[in-house]
Amino acid sequence: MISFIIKRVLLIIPIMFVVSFLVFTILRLGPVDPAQAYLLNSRIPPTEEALKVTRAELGLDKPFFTQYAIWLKGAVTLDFGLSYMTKRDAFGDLIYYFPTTLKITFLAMIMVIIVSIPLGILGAVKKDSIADKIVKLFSFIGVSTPSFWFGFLLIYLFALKLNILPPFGFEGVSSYILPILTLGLMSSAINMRITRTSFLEHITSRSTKYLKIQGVSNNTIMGKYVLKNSMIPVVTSLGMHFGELIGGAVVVEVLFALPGVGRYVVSSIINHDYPVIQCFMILMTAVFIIVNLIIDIIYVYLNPKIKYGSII
Amino acid sequence: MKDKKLIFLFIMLGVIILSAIFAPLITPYSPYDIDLSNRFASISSSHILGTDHLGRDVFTRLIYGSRMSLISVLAIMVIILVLSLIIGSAAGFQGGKLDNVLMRISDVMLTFPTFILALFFIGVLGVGLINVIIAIAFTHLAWYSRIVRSIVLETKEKNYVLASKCMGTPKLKIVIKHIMPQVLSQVGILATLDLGHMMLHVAGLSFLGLGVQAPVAEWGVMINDAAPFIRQHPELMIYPGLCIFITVAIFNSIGERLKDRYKIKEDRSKESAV
Amino acid sequence: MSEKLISVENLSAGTKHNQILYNISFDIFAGEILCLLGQSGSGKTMTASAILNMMPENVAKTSGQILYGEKEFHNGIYGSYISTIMQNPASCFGSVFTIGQQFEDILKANNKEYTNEKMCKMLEMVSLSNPYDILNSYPHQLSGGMLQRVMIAVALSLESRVVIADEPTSDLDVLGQKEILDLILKLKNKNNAVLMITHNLSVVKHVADRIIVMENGHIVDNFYKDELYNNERHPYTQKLIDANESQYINKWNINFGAYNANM
Repeated sequence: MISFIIKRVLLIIPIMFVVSFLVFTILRLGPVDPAQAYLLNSRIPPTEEALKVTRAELGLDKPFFTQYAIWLKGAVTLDFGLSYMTKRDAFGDLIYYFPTTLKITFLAMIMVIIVSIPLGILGAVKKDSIADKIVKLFSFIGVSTPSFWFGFLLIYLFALKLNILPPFGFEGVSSYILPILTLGLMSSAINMRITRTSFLEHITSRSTKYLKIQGVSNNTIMGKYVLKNSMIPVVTSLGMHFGELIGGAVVVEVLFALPGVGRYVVSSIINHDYPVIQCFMILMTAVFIIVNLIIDIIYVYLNPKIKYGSII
Repeated sequence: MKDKKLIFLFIMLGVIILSAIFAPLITPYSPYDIDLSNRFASISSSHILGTDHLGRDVFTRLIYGSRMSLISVLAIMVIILVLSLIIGSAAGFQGGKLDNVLMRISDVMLTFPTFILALFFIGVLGVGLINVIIAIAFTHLAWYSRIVRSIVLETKEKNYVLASKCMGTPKLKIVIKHIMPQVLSQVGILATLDLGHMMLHVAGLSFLGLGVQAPVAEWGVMINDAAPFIRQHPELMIYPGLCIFITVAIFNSIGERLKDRYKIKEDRSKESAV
Repeated sequence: MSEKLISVENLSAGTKHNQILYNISFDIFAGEILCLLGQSGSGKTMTASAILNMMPENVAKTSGQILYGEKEFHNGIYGSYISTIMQNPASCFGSVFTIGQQFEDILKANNKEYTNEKMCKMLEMVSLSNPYDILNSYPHQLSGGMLQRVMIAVALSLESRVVIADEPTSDLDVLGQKEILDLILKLKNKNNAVLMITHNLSVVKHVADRIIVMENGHIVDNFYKDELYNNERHPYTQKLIDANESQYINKWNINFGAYNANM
């Protein structure tokens, strides 16, 4: 187990290296000239002269690999260059907004877990009952609803009509409720379905049948055997959904005017603010790698087939 | 085809597609006719669903909006299918080094959630519907290529393919005659399941202002346009959302039904790529 | 006459369109190994499912009843009154718990002593040599034959009245088959009975006290083992016997059958 973790942690370095190279290269392959983007952001007319000066200033006249090396050297010390828009340190800007984004992502994740797993299990245990039909309907609606629209509906209902929650901006804990509901809806729906399917599969499995005939009580079979077995695919899916949630957080932050990275990143995309985009991607990669590592550890812990190889 | 629900769903989809194609015949207005004297008109015989903040006919904009959504998901799918068929079959057939390189690249791409990756590609390409289409197509490419590769690998070992190989049928003919039909039918059904998901992506990116730009009639843009008037005129925001919801729901239901009917494996991409 | 443990009376069952069992009646007595012999599709597995009250969802009992001792079916029968040894044992144990944990849960549920010593003793009885290692391993780490023996050890320690063994030797090689059958013989005592479901007449010859032959959902023959070579056997039984006598013909039949089935 420990050697597995060490191996995975050591793998982070080459992965980050490859991703950083891909991000840097692909951005340079794009149709937009960074020098021009820089000038537009600084509201300077992009004359030939100005472009030349800017290229020299940003080091864009150097060979490609030199540029990459310079950037990488900075990136290792968390210096991703200055934002074209704000002329401030890109990393500093992002890290300032980042905690809010992480907070709503984690809170939404907790909501997904609390909602999807119990309801999915309920649907499976009471298959074809009214409860199951409601669970299925909910998950169907959840996967088909545009999350930002759902957010507006929530704002209209709870903030404007009933007036019990703040609509936009940040005014304390209650401001998190609507964004989290908005963000968690789709992932809850998808995970609910996965939980239900996985649980059902194990309820009807041969091992369940065997334990039942040998006299083991239904509660033990469901609460212990089926539960642990069926959580394996659910954990994998939750890991994947963390990424979807952090992506969705961008939308939700724009919608609810929350001070997360969302609006900053969207405007940096619109304005071709390359240092910010690069820094954002590297930051995201780091987050996903760490989350994936945690998920893999849980997965290995749950699944003895991986932990202990076959001895025959 | 005895599945009545499936037939019903296809009819619903057909209605949406036909209304998108024949939009000018259905409504007398243009989606861009601004009439500031007639803002926020309520439901009437001349404006079935009223007018918006610029006095444009809402029903007309909804009908024209379906064009954008349908065309963009169609374009995304075509790009994905063509490229993934090429990449996946190359990896599956050639094997060896090519396979290895392609699969490692797809590993890296699959680490990222699709939405973040789409944001990145838009950052590279710039804002606009065409770039959104390319970005979403690219973000799903790794997943589909893996599925194609997995089906190719499986079909390659089927007895009838081996038999035809033994009889000396040329490689290309085997691909076209035996393997492509398998790949197309299975990937096609999985793609139906994803159409709704992609439509939500397009709408979400338009909402962020990265995709279709106002004043174009598109459902995501319409929701965004209606946002400032949510307190007085929530219906302006509800209609386009419902349109997205219904269309996505139809795609999802058709996909689910087809998948169950033909017992398609959904999680092939997770199968080992080694 | 020894005690009647299970009596199946006039049992008929089927799906909406298809009748599967026709008027099945037989008893299981204490102290015997009763074999249900038949080809696949003969209804032998469905009969066993009916006794276990675990028929597939789309199959319903249309008539008849099954009595367990004097009583009708209730959930308390599992474990203490009936237990099972299933085929394909690799899929019968939960994959995320050790053999020991599952053995322990089964013993606990039946109010039996569940110490490690007790479980090791039971595993030794089915000639598993390193019982501690087995208790600590996960199902995927053991071979099919080992798991089949663990199942027999479980059945032994439950001391239930009827053990239903569904093709327990189907996944094993010839030597493994013999070992398992010998263990099943050991399982029998004067208080319990074993109901063995099989399509294999060699297996029947090895262990059975009494044999019930099924064909297309009917019981066609019911006799003690020493009557096996009587001339008055039902023609279907006779066919099975003849086929079994000549391995050569047997092989031909099987292969030909498989070929036809694939067409």
